[in-house]
Amino acid sequence: MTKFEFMEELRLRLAVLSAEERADALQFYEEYFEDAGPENEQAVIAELGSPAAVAERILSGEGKAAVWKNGRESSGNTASAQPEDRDFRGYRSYTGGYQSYSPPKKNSGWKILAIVLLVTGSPIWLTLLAAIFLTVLGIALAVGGVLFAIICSIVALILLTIVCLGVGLWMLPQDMLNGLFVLSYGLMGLGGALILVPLGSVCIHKVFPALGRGLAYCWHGIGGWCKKAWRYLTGRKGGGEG
Amino acid sequence: MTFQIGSTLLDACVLAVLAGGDAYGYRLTQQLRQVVDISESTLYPVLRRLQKDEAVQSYDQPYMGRNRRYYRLTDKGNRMYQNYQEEWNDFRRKIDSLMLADPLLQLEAKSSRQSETEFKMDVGERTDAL
Repeated sequence: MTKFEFMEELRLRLAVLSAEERADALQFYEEYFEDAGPENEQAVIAELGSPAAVAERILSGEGKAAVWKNGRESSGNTASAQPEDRDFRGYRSYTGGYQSYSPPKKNSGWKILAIVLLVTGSPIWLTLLAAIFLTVLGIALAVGGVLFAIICSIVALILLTIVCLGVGLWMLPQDMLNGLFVLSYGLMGLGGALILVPLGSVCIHKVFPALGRGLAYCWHGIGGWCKKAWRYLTGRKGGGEG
Repeated sequence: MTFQIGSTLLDACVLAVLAGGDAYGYRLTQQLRQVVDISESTLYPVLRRLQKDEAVQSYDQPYMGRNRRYYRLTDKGNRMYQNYQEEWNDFRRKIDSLMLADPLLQLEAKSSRQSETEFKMDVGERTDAL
């Protein structure tokens, strides 16, 4: 970087100052370079640091002076470290409103909106939530009921098979035709049972736990949602809900 | 340097240099830098602040075909400088008594706090040690 480039960037970065203040600052550094001599140009630039840092110091010094004018004593230190590479366009907002500068509050508007929506919409979303949950519960219970009925039929079939086989065998010596008839029912029942019992056991071991897990999952899901929404509204950890 | 120079002390140093005679920016910076380790970019904001406080005035003088800006102490700046001198003396004595462990200064500081007997014991111990 040459002296010219340094001064040019400093000039740009001091654009927020009044013409008089800017000319004063620029003259100081112009003279500084001249008094140091052209042979020391690079040494001076190295020692001064980046034009951004120099401008930052000048601007924060001016800002402090403005605070003093309002009668407030400031024990601040102009020599305190400043962020060096601030975005150039950020200067105006940073120094222009120095006295009333406060960090922008993100999210607060959205948060209030979310709370208002949640409260005013509570009749709608509470009923909706309840309806969804009850529908899921209803479907689960229906599926469970059907499965329970099937299992009951299987048990009944097994009982019937045992009874039919016993009665058929008992009737066979007395009334051969009727005995065979009852016995055939028993054998049919046995065949049916052999097919249906594995199905029933699958129901008991797989489907019922799966249903239970599904319901538990739904329950936790709703709970998790509520937790996330709560955290979003109270704490800073932004999250879902939307 | 280990110790940081705060803005008040820096003000006082600048006033002290200017009390020795008017100076222009580069010279002022070099004079200060012989004693305290400050960045070259620190001085302009300090001078500017002192100017706004009306402790320092600037005037231009031609030098080799260009203007050179000199800074001089105002009456107010002079009073500030004298005030800083007194404050500094006080401050320095206090720090010295701690830092340099000067027995006389320490005794002086302790005598205001300790009871008579303790004080005597302390003197006894100290003379033994010496």
